[in-house]
Amino acid sequence: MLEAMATSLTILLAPDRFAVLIGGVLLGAVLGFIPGLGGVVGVALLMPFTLFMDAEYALPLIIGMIAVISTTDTIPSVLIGSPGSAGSQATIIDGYPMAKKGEAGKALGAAYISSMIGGIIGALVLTASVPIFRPLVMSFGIAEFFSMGLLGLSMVAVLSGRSPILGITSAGIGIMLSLVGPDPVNAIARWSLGTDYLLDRLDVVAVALGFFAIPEIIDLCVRGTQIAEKLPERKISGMGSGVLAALRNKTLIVCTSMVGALVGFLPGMGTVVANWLAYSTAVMFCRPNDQFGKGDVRGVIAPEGANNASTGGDLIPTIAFGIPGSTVMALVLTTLWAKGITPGRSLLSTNLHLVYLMIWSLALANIIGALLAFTFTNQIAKLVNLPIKVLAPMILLPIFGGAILTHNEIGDVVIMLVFGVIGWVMKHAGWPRPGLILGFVLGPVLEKFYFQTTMVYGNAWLLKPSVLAILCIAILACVFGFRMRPR
Amino acid sequence: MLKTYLSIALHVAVILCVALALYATIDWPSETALFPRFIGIPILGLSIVSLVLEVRRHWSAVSSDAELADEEKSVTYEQGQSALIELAWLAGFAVGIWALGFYVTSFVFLSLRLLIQAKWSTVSSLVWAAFVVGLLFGMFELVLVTTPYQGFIWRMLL
Repeated sequence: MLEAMATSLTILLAPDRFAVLIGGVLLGAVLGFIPGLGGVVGVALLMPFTLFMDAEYALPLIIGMIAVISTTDTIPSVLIGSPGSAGSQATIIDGYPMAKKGEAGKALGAAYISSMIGGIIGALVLTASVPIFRPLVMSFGIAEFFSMGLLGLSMVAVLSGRSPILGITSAGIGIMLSLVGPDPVNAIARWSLGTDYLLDRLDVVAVALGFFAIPEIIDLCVRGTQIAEKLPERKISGMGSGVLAALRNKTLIVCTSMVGALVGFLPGMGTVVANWLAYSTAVMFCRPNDQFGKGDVRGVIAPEGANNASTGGDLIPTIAFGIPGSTVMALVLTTLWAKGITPGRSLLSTNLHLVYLMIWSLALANIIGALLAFTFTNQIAKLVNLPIKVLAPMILLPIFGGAILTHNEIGDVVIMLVFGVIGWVMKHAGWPRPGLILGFVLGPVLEKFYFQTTMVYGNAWLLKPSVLAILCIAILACVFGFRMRPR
Repeated sequence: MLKTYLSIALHVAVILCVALALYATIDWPSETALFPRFIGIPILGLSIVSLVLEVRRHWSAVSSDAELADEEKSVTYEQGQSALIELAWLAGFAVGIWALGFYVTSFVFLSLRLLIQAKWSTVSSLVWAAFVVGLLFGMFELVLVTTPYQGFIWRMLL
């Protein structure tokens, strides 16, 4: 294990791969800053390009990008009171009042250092989880993996939307869409509508880009002329005092980062829940005369540590069981499969160095991202002035390029647009979208495990104690998810 | 109200599509149809239940503040129209790629967007579009060593 850790660090520190990591960090820094765009759009955008790279380049690029989004999404939260991504909503409560009091620099300095420490803690939690989950994964058979698939899907479907029924329906539709094309047993074409294009299954890149990138770009264009109307009036300074404030609250950073990593581990939760839960944790321990909600620096430190740490936690089920905990991880999982890497047993044994490559990338990207943010906050803040009408078409070019790149088929562009329309309608009709893409990614795997399980065990697989335990957790998750849903 | 109408329309579309998809499984061998039915039948049931709940919720709360508050967050008709215009641009981009290929269409699309929507001057739009497409060309051809879709007109000519 130590050898794999050392090997992966050597791989990552090679100049070309390190440059790719920095490329991912820079892209993440920009995407994190632009409200409406985020990890999902970023991974969907990078996915087609990573198909042309080795895994040792693709993983640092993607992980570097994801890791930094939670760092720079703080800048609009603090400066303009609008979250760069959903994972920095709680930061606004105290960050924006601090900026109004002229303490934007302090808030951002505290946020960057908490993000960096949180990200490193997330990476450490992920590292610690490898020796724990490795023997468990090695003991799993096909029935257990099938049950884990159902568990992940049910939790994500139930927890991701205001209506659990719609969440499960979305996931089911995603699975059905993934079944278009030849079936794995008889190779008979299913729902191919008599076309050659659909005989080759729907392309996940086109579906993901259409489903997540196109609706966001359309809404960006519809929304307005620039990212924000209110511009930061003066140069941001005083970040050093924020760093000192964060270091004085190191226990809070560690505690909330652990909360973030744990929340990230649970499928369907992700950075949004981590962000709010960490803020609630900080408020829970406050004294009556504390200034939470009016510009208390701890209200920035707590959520910012947690949202960066949650990425590390989010990677655990993806790597160990091949069960993505969030939409971003579903796309990361697809990238892994596209590179011929199977999460679970294979990744934790023969490709262990790739796991550590992801961990090192996560830790280093958080450090580099925080340093970049410290150095270039004023420059990044100027992006607020960027007109959407210039930005949007420039983002559209790589989106269309990415869609067509995978197979060089015009059908992929058509599919992207069709799913773009469906995604936009779902977004505005209040239907949860994460379940659909998770179902789409997991569908073929679930079908394969379902066939193998029933062929090997018949119906007796349902009586295996480990399967029963996993399915009980799935049912409990559904019940709790239903009871805890937002009304 | 658009949010509710969108949701109801989506429900109906899902129910019809899933029902047709399940109907298509009738002629399939049992191994081929097993998993699609295992997933499709519960989804059809859930979609119908969800549609009934949605319609009931709409009718029972149509005059309540909760409904109004919910609808305030919904997309307006004007936004819907703007979204349709954006979609028309995207559809035009797709048709352009099919006919002229990725590079030529990207250049035309970007320069037109900058000229018409961002109100840039003709020269600035063309120069900037050429620069961006040049970057994409470098990335695709030199870094990724691949040529994106060339379009049927170029394919006929070449």
